[in-house]
Amino acid sequence: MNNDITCIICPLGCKIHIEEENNDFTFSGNICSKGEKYSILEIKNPIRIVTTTVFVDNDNHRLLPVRSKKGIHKDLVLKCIVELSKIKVKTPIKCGDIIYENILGTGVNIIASRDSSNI
Amino acid sequence: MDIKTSENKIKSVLTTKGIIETKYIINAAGLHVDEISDMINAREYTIHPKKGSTIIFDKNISDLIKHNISIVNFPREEHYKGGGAITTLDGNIQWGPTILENYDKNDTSVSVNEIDKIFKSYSPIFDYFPKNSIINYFSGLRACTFTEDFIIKPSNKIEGFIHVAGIQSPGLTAAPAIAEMVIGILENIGVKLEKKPDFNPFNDKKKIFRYLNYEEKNEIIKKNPDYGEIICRCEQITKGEVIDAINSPISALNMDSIKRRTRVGMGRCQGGFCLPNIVKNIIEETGLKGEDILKNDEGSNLFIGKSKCLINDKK
Amino acid sequence: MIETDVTVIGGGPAGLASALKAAEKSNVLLLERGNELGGILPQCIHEGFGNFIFNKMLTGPEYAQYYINEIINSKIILKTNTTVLSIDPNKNIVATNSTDGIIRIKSKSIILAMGCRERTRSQILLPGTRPAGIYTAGTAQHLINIDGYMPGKNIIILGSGNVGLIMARRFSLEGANVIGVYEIMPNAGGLTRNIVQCLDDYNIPLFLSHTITNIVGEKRVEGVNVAKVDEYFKPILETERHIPCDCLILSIGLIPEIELCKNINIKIDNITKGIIVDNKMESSFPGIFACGNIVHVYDLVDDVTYSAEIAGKNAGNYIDFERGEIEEIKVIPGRNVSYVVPQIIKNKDCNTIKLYLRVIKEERNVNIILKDGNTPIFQKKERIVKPPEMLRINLSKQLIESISNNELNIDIRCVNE
Repeated sequence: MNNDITCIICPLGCKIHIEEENNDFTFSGNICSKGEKYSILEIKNPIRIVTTTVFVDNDNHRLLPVRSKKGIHKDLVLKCIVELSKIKVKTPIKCGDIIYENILGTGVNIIASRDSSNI
Repeated sequence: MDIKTSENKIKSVLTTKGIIETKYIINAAGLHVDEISDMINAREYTIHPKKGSTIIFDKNISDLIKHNISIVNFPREEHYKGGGAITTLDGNIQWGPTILENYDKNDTSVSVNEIDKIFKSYSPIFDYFPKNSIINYFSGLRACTFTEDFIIKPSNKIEGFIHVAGIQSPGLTAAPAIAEMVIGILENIGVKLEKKPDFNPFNDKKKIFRYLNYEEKNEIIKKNPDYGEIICRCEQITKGEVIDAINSPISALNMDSIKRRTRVGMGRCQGGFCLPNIVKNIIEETGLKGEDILKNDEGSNLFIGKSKCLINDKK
Repeated sequence: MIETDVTVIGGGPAGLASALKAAEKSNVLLLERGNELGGILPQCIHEGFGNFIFNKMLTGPEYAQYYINEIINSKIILKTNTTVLSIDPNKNIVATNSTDGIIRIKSKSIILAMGCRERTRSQILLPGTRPAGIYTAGTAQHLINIDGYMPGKNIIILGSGNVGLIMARRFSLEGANVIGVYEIMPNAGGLTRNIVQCLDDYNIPLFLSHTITNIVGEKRVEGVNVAKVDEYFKPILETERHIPCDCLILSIGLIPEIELCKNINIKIDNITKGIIVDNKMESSFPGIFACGNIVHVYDLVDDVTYSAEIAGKNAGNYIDFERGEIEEIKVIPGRNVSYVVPQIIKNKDCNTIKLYLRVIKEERNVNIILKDGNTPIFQKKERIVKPPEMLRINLSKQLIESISNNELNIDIRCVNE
């Protein structure tokens, strides 16, 4: 496990080192409590919004931007991208429409980032 | 690729596109004239390229000089006019060219030293020029011979082989006169040249959108709506002009050739905004695939494939 | 001839928001040279937009979609694929498109919302050959996300601005190998958040105080030479090494696109290279307003939208009359302040004003000090200031009214100084 986290809460960008013992955390390098909260989250369950494009209809040129509705564990991001590279969606699509349900069993849906008109 | 002779007379030329039978060859191969001559052991000179680099400034500072200004350094370098600050026909100011012996006939890169050298010679005179208005720099190679003069004459070894070599500055200015001289040589060696009765030496004048007044612009858009759509915002080049270049008798199918015909991408953004649109136009007009479109020569593909083409490799 | 109250030039985030605001009181014509609205947003498919305005993190297309829907449901006259050719000193605009031909427009006020463009290789005098495979980060983003092409497989990125960082991640997600990001400055050019989530997450190395010294390759890029730089940004020759790659991405800065203003006498800021504005986002030319990245390059689209709403509101209210002398306060950047926007405050009739400023160098534990002439009137503490992170200061109506000099000086000083 990576125990060194760069905090992104403010421009300081503290390098925080975390030690865990029996679910007890000790921090060094940070200067505020927000940094502690952030780094626990980054250690326990680092999540990212996945954003990519999917092919539209049977056209290998038209791309629709999509995103995950919620954050997904960062280790699964690349797998999501691979999964979404295989699909082709049918238009018309409205911004916010579900494009792919429950990706990789995470319970998170992938939604369209825009209307399909004009792409 | 090769030239065939028999009894010291030209027979044929072997090219990448087939064999051409001919009695006469005009060797105007620029940097490569000596290599062509070597094919038939008719070399009478060696080309030693000299690189010249220039810096091009944004049109929006073209008011900074009104006349072409040449720099004369003493002692004068031989066979070099010295370059200068010149306004191009299109309105960009250019500084240069420099001069530098360069053994590699394919090397048209611009080195740090070249850029520094241009700045060292011009900045003291034009210290008010904004450096951040540079939009590009280029270099080219002059096809110099050791006699440093034009060599325009029939070969003294092979009949029907005419040298047009060592054409360096003022080669472009001299080109029409050189052509007439070559015609004279051809006639002297017994070629009968007859004027084609239907030869039309005139090209239709191209409509250049940015030079038209608003009424003329309106007229041309009414005739062809593509002229109403600006593709290159920096140089105000229209979709109509790009499509004309693509569909012209000698069609321009890669980025650099379309650029040279129309000036798209020659402005301050250097094609950043218009490149995707031009790619789209080439595809629409020719049916080429985007990933096959070139910057210039074979192998200079703009893209390595479609989006997502690498995703499954990596998994 | 089209006659209207307000003409907005540019349909990106600044143009969209200013048109909507102006349309609350006036007739508005919106001109966009591309075939769709949203400017750069449709290609920014990553999330991170709208934290302030929508209170959530949206992607670029989502952020644009909101405003596009509003525009479509408004009375605003919209012309896409329409390029403005010129603006003259009588505020006459000439534009062109394929269906109307040459269009002449007369409007009471104009909003300039043309955004910015990317700096190119030539502007940093990057030497070498001229092969295929060299793209600016924004162009690469358009190619991958909109046009559907991959510019390369083994990628080197020069410059650690936000677009470059975002593209490092995008290339990685698309299966390319991002060899590294090289930055000439000793500090990263982008936000910390992007360093972590775009580089660290994908194990992409960032090389500070490095630059590219040569581009190699005849047909496509075959590699670049990189070297460390000294404190004067000169490459240290002994550190030069060759790195094979097939694609070079440049993320070396953005410049406001002011070229359309060349025939009108509008003042330009030497530092931002953008249009000088007052607190109403009005330029030095009465009735011509400016907003978004044509003024200065913002960090966040939310701030672009705020600036646009101010411009839209005031352009919509604009009445052409002889104004006489209006009292002006010049906002003057002082110690460790690179620039401040707006550059001018027109005193009499303003509400709160948000000042945006950028610092020259990174400093810790500082005070931002505002001085009415020489008298300090406002102070704000910051733990850290750095050039990539724009600072915002809110000035209250009270504070503005209290200013008695015609100069407002802004300094950044270390707390113990």
